[in-house]
Amino acid sequence: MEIFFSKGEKETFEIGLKISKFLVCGDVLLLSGEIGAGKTNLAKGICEGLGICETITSPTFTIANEYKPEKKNLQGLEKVVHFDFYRIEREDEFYNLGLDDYFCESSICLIEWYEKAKNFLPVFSKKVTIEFVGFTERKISFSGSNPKP
Amino acid sequence: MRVLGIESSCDETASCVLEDGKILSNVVSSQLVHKVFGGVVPELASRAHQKLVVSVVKQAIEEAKISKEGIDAIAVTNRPGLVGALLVGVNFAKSLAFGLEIPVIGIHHIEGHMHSVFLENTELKPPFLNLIVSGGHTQLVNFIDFGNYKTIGKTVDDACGEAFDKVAKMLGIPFPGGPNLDKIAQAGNPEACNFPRPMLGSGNFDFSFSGMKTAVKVFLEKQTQDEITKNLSDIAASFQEAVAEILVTKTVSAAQSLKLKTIVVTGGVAANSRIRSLMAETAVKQGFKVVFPRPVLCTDNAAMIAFCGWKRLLKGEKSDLTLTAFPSETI
Repeated sequence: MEIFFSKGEKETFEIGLKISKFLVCGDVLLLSGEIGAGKTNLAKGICEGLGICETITSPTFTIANEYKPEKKNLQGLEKVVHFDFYRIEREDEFYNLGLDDYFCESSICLIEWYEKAKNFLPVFSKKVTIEFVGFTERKISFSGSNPKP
Repeated sequence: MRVLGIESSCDETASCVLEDGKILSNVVSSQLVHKVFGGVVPELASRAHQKLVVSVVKQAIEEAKISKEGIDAIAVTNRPGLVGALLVGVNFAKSLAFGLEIPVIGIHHIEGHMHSVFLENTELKPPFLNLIVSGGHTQLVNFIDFGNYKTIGKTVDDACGEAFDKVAKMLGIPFPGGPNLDKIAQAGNPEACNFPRPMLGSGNFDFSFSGMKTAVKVFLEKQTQDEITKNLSDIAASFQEAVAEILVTKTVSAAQSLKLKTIVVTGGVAANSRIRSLMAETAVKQGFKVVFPRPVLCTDNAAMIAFCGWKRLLKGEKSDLTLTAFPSETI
């Protein structure tokens, strides 16, 4: 478990960059935290760390946004998929949407509001939890495997 | 030329028939779900598109009072969106085009929204500045000419409609959040709470709505439930005013800097009453012409896709039968 503290958007973004170093191809990273905690902003940092140059925008409406890395920061990484299950009401919708097709060895999947489709997720997932400490500070905990050598 | 339009990029399955750019029929699945599903509205499912697509297209052809042999071409949304959802429309369009031996053309969903204004404003001609605001998109596009666009600003995080929906949920306003918040806000004082106007002084034409959502959340945490209930319309009006002010200020200053005389607002959020009135007040006062499509043409529909397809087909463009769907692509 790695623990970080953030005092604002910029720091959360930089923690995202650090967390990206803990990821390998095929990973599914669950992002947990209330509305306004900074999940999408953390995802921006993680994506930049993985070599994505496009602007990362919220996937709430689209449910899944796909990005192709322009920089080869991680060998074999073909795409990063940023999900948000906020709008999913029933777990079977996850299956109906064909979302499990996205999990594969050449991609990294980041999932906001994963709680909505718990039973459909891979058993081996890494996880980041963002908690409010007062109104402005955030505690960001990452659990999963160790950083690569 | 009669063009059949098919749209399945998000929640709505939609179809239409246009004749030389005029609407003969325009069907969206939310009108039909009762017939197909017996009253249960299934959202967010490719399988819902699968179940609906044939009925919706059939209805569009019937309402147009033509037979399917009377269709000259098919326009279908093939990007951006969930591939599973898009493929339902794309594969159906290709099969029907193959069967009828007519051309098919794949259309960008946002390019479709940009064309919705022409369905009822036949005299309107480019260039103009187009603000596209919906649940999934917020962008400012210079519509230079048909097929020639330049995005000059967009959201760096949440779409404008998403901010409306999420704030509505925080306030306990029932679905559909955006339109209901608009109604509640009409009785409120827009100056009651001072919410931030992010990016207003950013010096570019990009937007950010994520911080506003957080600002409302922080504001609500400092209030008791009774205070929130009592001041609901004031909070809603203040939030809506902040969003409208950001959109209007950025749009007007973009139109000034590009020396464009006409502003067009499209997308689902273009139905919001305060955005409409503030845009009209501010922009008209400064000499701009402002055009909004009717709300039914602002939300997702197939007529805008067919119109855009018709324009492209007239130029001799078409897709071949290897046409497929793409999850993300800029215009």
